[in-house]
Amino acid sequence: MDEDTPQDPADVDSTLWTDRYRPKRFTDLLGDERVHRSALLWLKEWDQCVFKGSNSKTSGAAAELKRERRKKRARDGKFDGAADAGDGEQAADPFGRPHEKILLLCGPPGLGKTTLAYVLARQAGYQVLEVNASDDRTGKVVEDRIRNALESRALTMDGGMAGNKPTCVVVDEVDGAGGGGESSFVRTLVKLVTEGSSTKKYKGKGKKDRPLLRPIICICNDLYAPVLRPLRPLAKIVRFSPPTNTMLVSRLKNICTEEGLGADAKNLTMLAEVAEGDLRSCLNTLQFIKRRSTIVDEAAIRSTVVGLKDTGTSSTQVIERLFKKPPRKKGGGGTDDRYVNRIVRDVQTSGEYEKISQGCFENYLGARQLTDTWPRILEATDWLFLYDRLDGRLRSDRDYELLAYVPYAFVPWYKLFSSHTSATMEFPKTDYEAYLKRVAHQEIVQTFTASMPHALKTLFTGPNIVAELLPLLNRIIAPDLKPVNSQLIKAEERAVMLKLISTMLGMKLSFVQDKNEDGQLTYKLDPPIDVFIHFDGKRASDMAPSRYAVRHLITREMEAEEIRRSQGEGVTNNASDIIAAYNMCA
Amino acid sequence: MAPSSTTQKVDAFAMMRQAAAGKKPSAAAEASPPKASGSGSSSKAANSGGPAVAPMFKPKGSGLGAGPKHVADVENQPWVEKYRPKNLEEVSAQDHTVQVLKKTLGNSNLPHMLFYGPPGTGKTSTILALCKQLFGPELFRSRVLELNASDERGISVVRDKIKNFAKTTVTTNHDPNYPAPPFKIIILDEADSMTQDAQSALRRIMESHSRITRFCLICNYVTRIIEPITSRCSKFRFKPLDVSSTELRLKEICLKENVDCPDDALRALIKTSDGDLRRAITYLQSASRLHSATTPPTPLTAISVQEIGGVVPDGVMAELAKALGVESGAEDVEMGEPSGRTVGAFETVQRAVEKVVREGYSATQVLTQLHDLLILDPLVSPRAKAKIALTLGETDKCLTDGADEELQLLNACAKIRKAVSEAA
Amino acid sequence: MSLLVDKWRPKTLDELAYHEDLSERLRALAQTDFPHTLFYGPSGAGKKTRIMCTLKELFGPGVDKLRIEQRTFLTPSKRKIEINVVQSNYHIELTPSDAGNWDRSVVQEVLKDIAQTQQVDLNAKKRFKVVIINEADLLSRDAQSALRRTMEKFTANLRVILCANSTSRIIGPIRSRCLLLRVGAPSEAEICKVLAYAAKKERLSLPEHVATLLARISQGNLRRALLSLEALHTQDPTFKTVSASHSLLTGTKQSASDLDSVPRPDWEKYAGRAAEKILGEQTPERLLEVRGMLYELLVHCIPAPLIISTISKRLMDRVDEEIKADVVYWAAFYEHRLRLGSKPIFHLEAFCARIMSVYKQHLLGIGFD
Repeated sequence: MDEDTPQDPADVDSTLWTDRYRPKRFTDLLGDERVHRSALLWLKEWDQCVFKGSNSKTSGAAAELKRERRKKRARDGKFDGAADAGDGEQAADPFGRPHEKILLLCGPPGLGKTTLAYVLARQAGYQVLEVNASDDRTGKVVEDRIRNALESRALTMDGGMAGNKPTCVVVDEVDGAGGGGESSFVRTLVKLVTEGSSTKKYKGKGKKDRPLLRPIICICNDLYAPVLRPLRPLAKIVRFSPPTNTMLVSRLKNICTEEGLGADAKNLTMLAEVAEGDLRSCLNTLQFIKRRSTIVDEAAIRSTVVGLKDTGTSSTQVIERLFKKPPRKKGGGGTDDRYVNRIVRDVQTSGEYEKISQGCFENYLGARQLTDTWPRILEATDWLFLYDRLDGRLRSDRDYELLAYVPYAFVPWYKLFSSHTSATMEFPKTDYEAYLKRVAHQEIVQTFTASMPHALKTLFTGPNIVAELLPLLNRIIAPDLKPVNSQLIKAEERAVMLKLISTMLGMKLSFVQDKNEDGQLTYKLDPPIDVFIHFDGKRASDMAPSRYAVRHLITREMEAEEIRRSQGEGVTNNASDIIAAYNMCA
Repeated sequence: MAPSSTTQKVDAFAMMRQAAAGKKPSAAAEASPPKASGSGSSSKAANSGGPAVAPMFKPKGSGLGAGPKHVADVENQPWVEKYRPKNLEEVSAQDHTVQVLKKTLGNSNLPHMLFYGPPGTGKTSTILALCKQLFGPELFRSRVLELNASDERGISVVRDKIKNFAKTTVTTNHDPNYPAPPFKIIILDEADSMTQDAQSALRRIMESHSRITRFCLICNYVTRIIEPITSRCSKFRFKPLDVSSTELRLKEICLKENVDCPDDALRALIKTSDGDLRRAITYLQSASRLHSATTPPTPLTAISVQEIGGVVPDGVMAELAKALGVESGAEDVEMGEPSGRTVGAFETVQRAVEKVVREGYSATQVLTQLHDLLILDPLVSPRAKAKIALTLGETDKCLTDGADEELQLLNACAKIRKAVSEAA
Repeated sequence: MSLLVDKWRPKTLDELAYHEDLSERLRALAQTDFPHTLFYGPSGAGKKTRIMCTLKELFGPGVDKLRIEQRTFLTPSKRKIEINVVQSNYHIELTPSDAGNWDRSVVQEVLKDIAQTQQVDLNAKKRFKVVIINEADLLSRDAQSALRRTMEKFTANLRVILCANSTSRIIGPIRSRCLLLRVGAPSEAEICKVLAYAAKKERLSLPEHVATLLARISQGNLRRALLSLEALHTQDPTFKTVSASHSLLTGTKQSASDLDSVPRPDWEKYAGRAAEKILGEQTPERLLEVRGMLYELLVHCIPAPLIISTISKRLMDRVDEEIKADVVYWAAFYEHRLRLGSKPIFHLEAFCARIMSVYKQHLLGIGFD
């Protein structure tokens, strides 16, 4: 893994170009420099803890960055917040560690995340222990391997082995670490990071309690993979974006020159576009071409780029690719039969059909369509139906043979909506948000129905409660009352009030005092069935606003009425509830 | 047979109806479990075209292993139970099945059996009668296990309860008046509602204990029984009852129960029950209850029978048909609109449909009756009929899938109206 | 507790205001032996009220002594589910949707329980207990087939009364075991009569045109008409906002504002606004807007089929004669898809998109002619 040693010129041809031209120094890195800097900065913050002031390895630039960072932190008021043990000497952390103990690099494949991790570690003077998807990654492994690696520094330092460097663990493809439960990989990782951080700086209380004293770099493709949820709040997240084509092309040009491969900028640009910023695949292609010719031309590129990528694609990427055409090729014959297979493969490797369907649904109306707007939209909805139908059958009847057909429901979206302009894709979330809201509303309904009088329960069942009872009940309990003293109230208003109170008591509705965002006191309906007359966040317009004073008055009267009822047992007045009425009949 | 004579006139359509009806349940089965609505119309088609089938039961006492509790209440007993046949002799018709089964009484050799056919054709009655005759009241309890859909019949029950019963050896002491062959009978009523897993578990049991245990499976839809089981059974198809045998049976009951049932009421009864004798008897009992409760008791009427059967009255149907433009010299129906605004054709249909839906008639019933009304109407052109039949079929499928009745009915009616007016 | 809708609800068969012939029948049936019955008819037609009145006729005032009991059921998969059941000494009431996927187990257990216990009350007029099953058309097929034999077997101790909006979703074997009783929706005049009765009892003056309007918009749903009356009265005690020349009363062509100026549930008005949006402009941007509104309706727990039928009814009121049939066709089409699928928003939006497309074509067609 560690390609530190210079290449032997003899076997130059046998090495992969991706390895040969893998950046070795920080300055070799391609891509957004700010991203790299922020990652380096984080790693440098460990110096305090790891190298204990032996500042020989801390470069001047990094130290400067670090100062800057500190300043910024102070500005943001995070200075104190970061230090949980109020140690005077080390303001940030008792061990001089940065606030976030883990660096999480995320971005699509082939942008050099792993390379960056290696370069950084080397630059900062660490040796790398890589744990990737090929390794067994149960919680036990983290426990043993990583902890051992992280804590064995004393041994290696003194023993003079392995270049005397402290270890930095790089966990590649961390989003692929599946499985939940207490002993899952990510959870153990979290435990490793969090435990001991609040203990005093005295160490040696036994292995379990030891705090994490070495940096961990995690790499992932999909930042929002569910398995990463516990990790995200603990980590410093650095997002990768693809390097610009110009940067990519100039790098490719350099390499071509070095390898004696004739290539002009136009063809290299095309290559870079086809590879979608993935430098690794560009290099692989070039190396492949080199074996056959000395000139990179269009035909050569086209004959080799087929099926370039086969990495696991995230749903977001799949959606993006459905809506964005790859760069146009001249005389683009043959692309038609190719996109079907490409999309099917993409969708299959991602496997997140539901998310993709949501992504399609949420983005298709925003896609640019020049002609045939409605036929396109209608066709799209038909395909959504196909997906929904297949999905439904899969779930209810467990007809797993149908699974093979699901990806084809997404293929037509490419034909219908893809364009060359890159529109920003929305991560599908509207549906989930709506779902959460609906569940919340259902709970309100359930609370309400549970305390509804029997007679009404038999009268209103199922959707009738929401569709009929609640909207109208909201009006029934909101008569236009004037906020006056209950003693001065007019006779007819008194009657309205009494009726209201008995209705509300019967329905087990009440007003509870609460504060709104501005800190003002308000009375809220409980259970808050008034959500059912709020649409688009607005209260129904035909109802008089219910004022604080009125609700206050009602609440007081309701309390009084309740006391009266509990005292006057057996005495049922006109406004008694229905059970009492039934008993009377009996 | 009054209905069949009318059927002659539109022979081609009767055939199409049969073909369409035959297809319908399978289309429904593909999408969701077939519902009775589909089978209802198919059995009707079979009935009007098919040959006469004999009735199933003849009267006699109560019986059947429903437990001792309801014996006390003979008067309140449903007539369906009261007039269940007690032995195969009483099942006078359904000649083929009965003949085969009678032989088994003599030689004590019985295969595994599978009874299938539409509801109310006497499947359960036949097997219960056979068991009674084989074992007599003494042995009945120990030799017959009856399980139906109201019992838990998951795979665990098949493995435990059924298997254990199948395994137990038979005792030899028995009433000499009955043949009591040396095996037990397990009746699985409504077997089509058993899960595939449970059915597969069953097949091994059927084989390994066949020496001492016979199975009788009863179902409405033979297609829902897995192939390995059907191949192990002798299949008996129960056909819907024809008019004359139903009539005979109902008249018998009327006589025994002192019900005054005029001919038109009887005809309505037979028509609405659609070859389902249980339904016919239930309706008869309900109707007689209604009419005997009045003072003084009145004879049954066709209208009350139709109402009990959920049939849409002819008047309502005629009004709907008129709104659809089917009626000689049909003009736009005056719906009592106060203003002088002209009412469009669609709105006429919309109101007529709304009225029918508000009255609570079920959409499937309306469709079935629309079908009878329109397809048999000599004034509607064949081309329009073809379109109408297609529309009705599509709508029935949607309803089977659980779609909204009012929307579906309105859509169907709007389409029919269009088909009719285009042809005119 | 005194909602109008419940306060003056008839408690005996004699008090029922309409369908006298049905009441007569029920009375007759209660005198003799009572069969298993299936009450069916549209929502708010008074099925439940008639059932309760019949029970009273059968057992006397004891049925009014309702209590709620929490019962625990064990599903075949050994999961415990708790359900509140309303019951009296003589009857028990089940709502299958409470039981979710386990309706079969619940129905089976309750029925067998009752079937195997004799009526404890020796003074009871009848020997049997009644099980009322609400929303019987929502019972799963499984649960329905579980019912069929039980109904046949345990007739001595048990009568089942099913209550359903339609018989279409009740399986044949159940239908053939029940006496079908249809409860049609009350006519406008009948609703007006009941409204006037309730108003008189409450001592409020209800102008005739207000009653007619309420009856008309309630579309045969008496329960809703009564609720609307109370809501309207609370908001507007003198009914001054309802004009006697409202277009719904005079039958002239209805404008959008007319349709909104009547007391309807908020979600219905909101759905109406969505329909207006569809007719106002036909672009993807507008469809996106409508999508937001559809989500808003779904979030408020309005069932998707109801959304489609409400929107389509509004559309039918507003579009030209020529494309009304198209609106119905597509409404029925997408409503069917809705039932087949599991993602309502897809199909709701598809419906709106289709209508936009159809409507736009229609407008263009007129432009060219």
